[in-house]
Amino acid sequence: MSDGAVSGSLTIVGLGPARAEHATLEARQVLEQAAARPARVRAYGLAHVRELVAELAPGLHVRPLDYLYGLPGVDRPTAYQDLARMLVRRAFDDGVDVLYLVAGSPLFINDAVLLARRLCAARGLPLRLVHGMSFVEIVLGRVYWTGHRGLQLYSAWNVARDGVLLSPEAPALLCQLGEFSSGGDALDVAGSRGLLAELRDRLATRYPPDHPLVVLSSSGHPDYHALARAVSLGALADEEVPVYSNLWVPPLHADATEREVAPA
Amino acid sequence: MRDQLFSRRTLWGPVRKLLQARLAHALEGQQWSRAGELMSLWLDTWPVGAAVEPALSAWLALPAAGDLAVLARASELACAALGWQTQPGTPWPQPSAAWIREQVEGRPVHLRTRGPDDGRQLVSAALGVEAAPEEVDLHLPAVAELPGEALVARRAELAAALVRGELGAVRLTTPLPPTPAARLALAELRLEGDHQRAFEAWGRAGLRVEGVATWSELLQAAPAGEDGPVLQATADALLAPGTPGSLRRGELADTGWLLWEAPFSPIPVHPVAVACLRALDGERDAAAVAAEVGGPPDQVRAVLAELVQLGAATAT
Repeated sequence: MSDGAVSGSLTIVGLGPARAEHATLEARQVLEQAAARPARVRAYGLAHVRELVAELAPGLHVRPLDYLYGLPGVDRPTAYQDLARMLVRRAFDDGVDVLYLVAGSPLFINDAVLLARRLCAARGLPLRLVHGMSFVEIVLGRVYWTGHRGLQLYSAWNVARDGVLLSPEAPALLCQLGEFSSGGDALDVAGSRGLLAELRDRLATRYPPDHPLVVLSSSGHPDYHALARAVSLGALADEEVPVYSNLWVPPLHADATEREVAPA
Repeated sequence: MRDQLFSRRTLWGPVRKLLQARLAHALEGQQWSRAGELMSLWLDTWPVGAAVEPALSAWLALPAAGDLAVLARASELACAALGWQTQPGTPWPQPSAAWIREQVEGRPVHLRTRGPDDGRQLVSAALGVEAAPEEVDLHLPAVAELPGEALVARRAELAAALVRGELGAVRLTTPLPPTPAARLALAELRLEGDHQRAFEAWGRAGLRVEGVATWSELLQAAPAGEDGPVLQATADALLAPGTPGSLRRGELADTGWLLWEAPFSPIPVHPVAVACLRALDGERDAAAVAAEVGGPPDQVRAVLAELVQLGAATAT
């Protein structure tokens, strides 16, 4: 960027985890204002986000970022880094009002957002965050989290392959259960059982085989109901799980509340 | 050339016939990959022939990506049938000099040009006439040209120009290096340039449309027919030596094909279905069709019900 005045802007908008109704009033207002200024605003997002925008702000063109997952030889960390740099360049070098639209909360496990925030901070550039409801609210609806012992939040990959050890005294929510590549690709549920087997073996160092777990997933479009399936640790890898499922791991020594599955 | 090639008469007539002959030749020579490709082209003469004239009319009135995709597929069919090359980097035909001369034989020629890549050298050389200096101004957006290896260094500048509308597209004159940085740079051009993908697919014609469409995306399933005691065929039914995929593998087996002279996807079926469909004359009921094809009545009824669902037959 030149050292001159900043003429563009970068706004990162969380649209919530599933249905259009999950978007905040602020997010809706940002989208509607953008739709009214098509010549000035460029919006970017993935397929799910585009579906939401079609409901929330018809007429707002969202440029598709789906290519991030399909370039040969480009892993996800590299793609996210490139995206963050591109968004910052577009906004503050090219003087465009940029909207980066993300599912869920921008602050939950979103590398591109994290990088964009750090790039802006390092250069003293303004960045607006419009918060969104995260996937955690949805998945916690099918269990009873007391909050008395805290909550451990990791990706399943962290535990299965990065050496993260859970504390058995606190409940854990392991997200992106269907992931099975180091790049974070989770495009085929058939690959999920390999990661599940590794996760099972890692958890077995701290929990007994009959420790109760809950696989939490979504029914998908259009209702996005939270689905829950109880499974013992020993049987964790017996069935595939949908892409982007989550795993609830109750604490080892706790009352029964955090071991129960809540009704839908 | 445009009006001759992009006509249903040409595609359903000489182009289909020539493709069939080339397919037979490829099968005889056990050129399996080529045979699979020709089978796919031959099958497409049905739906492309149906779609080409509406697409041409629409293109001349208000250019759109879908219409260009139809015309591009029609061009591929014609080039494969006639043995013509395509203009480099595009699906558009590059006819032989002899064919060009034949089209204008005995008539005075005034060669007007329409901008870069309009084939003027080819036509000029074939006819021995100079192109007129004036050009028809199509008001097409500018195109930047650079070698593939220069893209990463110029990525930010080119993307900004695409965003501002100062460029319509970027042409790489040498292959893109197989590096993540180069692939991400091209992805940004495609993201920001409304004409970039269309330009890559269709050359300068793509500068007149936004986005891109593929021929296969445009094909629809035929609507189901109405069931009834007496049926009539609403599709062509043909026997072929396989599917494009099976021919590529060198596997030959009698395969039925349901084909519509409409923009519907060709459907492979069991040869029995072809026999049943051919037996429909608008008078026979299922029992009579079974007698005609020599099959068990229950099985024939099931086949006919399936043909109705597929839109290949309907009640009279």
